[in-house]
Amino acid sequence: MSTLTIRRLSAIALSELAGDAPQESFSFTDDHRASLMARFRATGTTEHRKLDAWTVESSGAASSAFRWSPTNARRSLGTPALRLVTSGRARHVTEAVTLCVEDHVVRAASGRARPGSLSYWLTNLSDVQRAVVIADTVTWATGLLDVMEPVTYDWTMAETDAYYDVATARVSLRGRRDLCITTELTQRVILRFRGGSPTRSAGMGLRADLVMDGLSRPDGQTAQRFIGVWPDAGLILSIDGNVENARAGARSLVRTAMMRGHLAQHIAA
Amino acid sequence: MSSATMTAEPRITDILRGNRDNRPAANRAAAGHYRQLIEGALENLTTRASTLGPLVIRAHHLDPVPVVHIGPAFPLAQLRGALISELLRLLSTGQSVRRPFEDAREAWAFSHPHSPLHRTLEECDADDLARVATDVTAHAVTLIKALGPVNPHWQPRTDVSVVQHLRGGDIVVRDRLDLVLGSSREAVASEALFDVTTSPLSSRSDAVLRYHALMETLRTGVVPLRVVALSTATGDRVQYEVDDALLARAVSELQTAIITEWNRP
Repeated sequence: MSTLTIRRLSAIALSELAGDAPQESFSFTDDHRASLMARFRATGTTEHRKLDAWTVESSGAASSAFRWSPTNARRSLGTPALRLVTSGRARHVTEAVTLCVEDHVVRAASGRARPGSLSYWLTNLSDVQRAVVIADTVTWATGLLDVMEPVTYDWTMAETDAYYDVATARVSLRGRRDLCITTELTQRVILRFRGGSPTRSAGMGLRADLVMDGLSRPDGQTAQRFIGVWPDAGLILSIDGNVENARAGARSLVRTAMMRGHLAQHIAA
Repeated sequence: MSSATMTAEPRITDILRGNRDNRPAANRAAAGHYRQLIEGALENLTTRASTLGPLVIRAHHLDPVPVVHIGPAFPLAQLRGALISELLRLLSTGQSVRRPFEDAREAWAFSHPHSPLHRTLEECDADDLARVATDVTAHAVTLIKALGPVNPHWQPRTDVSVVQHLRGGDIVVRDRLDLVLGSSREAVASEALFDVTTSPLSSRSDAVLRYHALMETLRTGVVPLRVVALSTATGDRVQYEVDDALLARAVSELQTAIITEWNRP
């Protein structure tokens, strides 16, 4: 069943959701990948489309050109900062975030950052602006830690997001994932932290993230459970990594690619 | 509901943390009860036209009689409040503030590039700007003197957003907390909320503090330890220990605000 579970946010609820996740999960085979490629190709456009859960939730609406801001930098800085805290390499979140920012600045100063990158952007900020970025990131990361520390299972911050390019279809997928819980019985329960409150299409976004995470793995195996956490609203939404959710997620991605294609044609016309 | 109003001396961070040995056990059972109380009062609301969208409630709706803001000073007062909140964010990360107005203005413009208050600032002539600058600096001096150092081990979070959906999403209750210290996951109540205002303290600021406490209770599911407000206009501060009486009053005030706004023509 493609059931969406909604719970109030608490460590107990998260632990229960991780603990009773199904042991089996759906795996994408080569046939599935080929079928998905054919469907993306059939959307009929040569425009390169970048899709993620947000584009799925907003029905393929065109997004404005990406620009770094304190809000979108906090996840990129907060994730490695939390890795420093949880591994004991930083004493507290503020120190970890400051270290991460300094690391980016050093990278840019030594010519190892491309224009448009986070390092490049941070380097060109004033001390005051950098302090705003640090304050925003500390708030995001501390909120995440506050939710996760009492969870009774082992968890680790995700190393990267899930990326998958659909061969010959000019479609790039990016699935966001913030951390992974591992339990004795299940292998992978993935969590995503989001701001604000869940919209009516939040379930579609979660299913799209589940699919992109599975596709990005060589064995094609989806997570046993995918959990969206909205700390601002104190809510958790979760879906299982079963065939129904994988199918629904894949369909929504293809539909979004189609809408994006129509939008591009409309703009070109 | 115990309270104490003071005029000076103890630093805000000392008040927020208090004596660690005297903290009550974390109350994780109350949030559901208060949510039920709020929802219960909303059951009999009449149906509202769906075209109106959800009713959005914020702290300023707690005013029993809405204040009509007339005159050119109001946007500038709003701007002053926004700039002081921004300074609090800088101070909470350990950033030293040497030029309060310039630093606050830069931080605010950076984090709120689309605020309508930019226009207010652009429309200021040299005299207006000098007046705002000295005003903000005076408030900043009060804040810096009163606040005290924010230890990063206290897990400071600034500008924390809270949003709660009631009556199946017909009503959205929003809040922003200037500064939150401590954690909701400890065995004893440890979260302390701080609100900075550039207006003198009044019964309205008390209601706002209660609102903050209730919203954080609903968000985390744990009752916070205490709420503290500082007026940078007068240097006065007020603190409340968060208990059942305070939260019950906050529920009643929120219900009144929702019903008033719901029935507003």
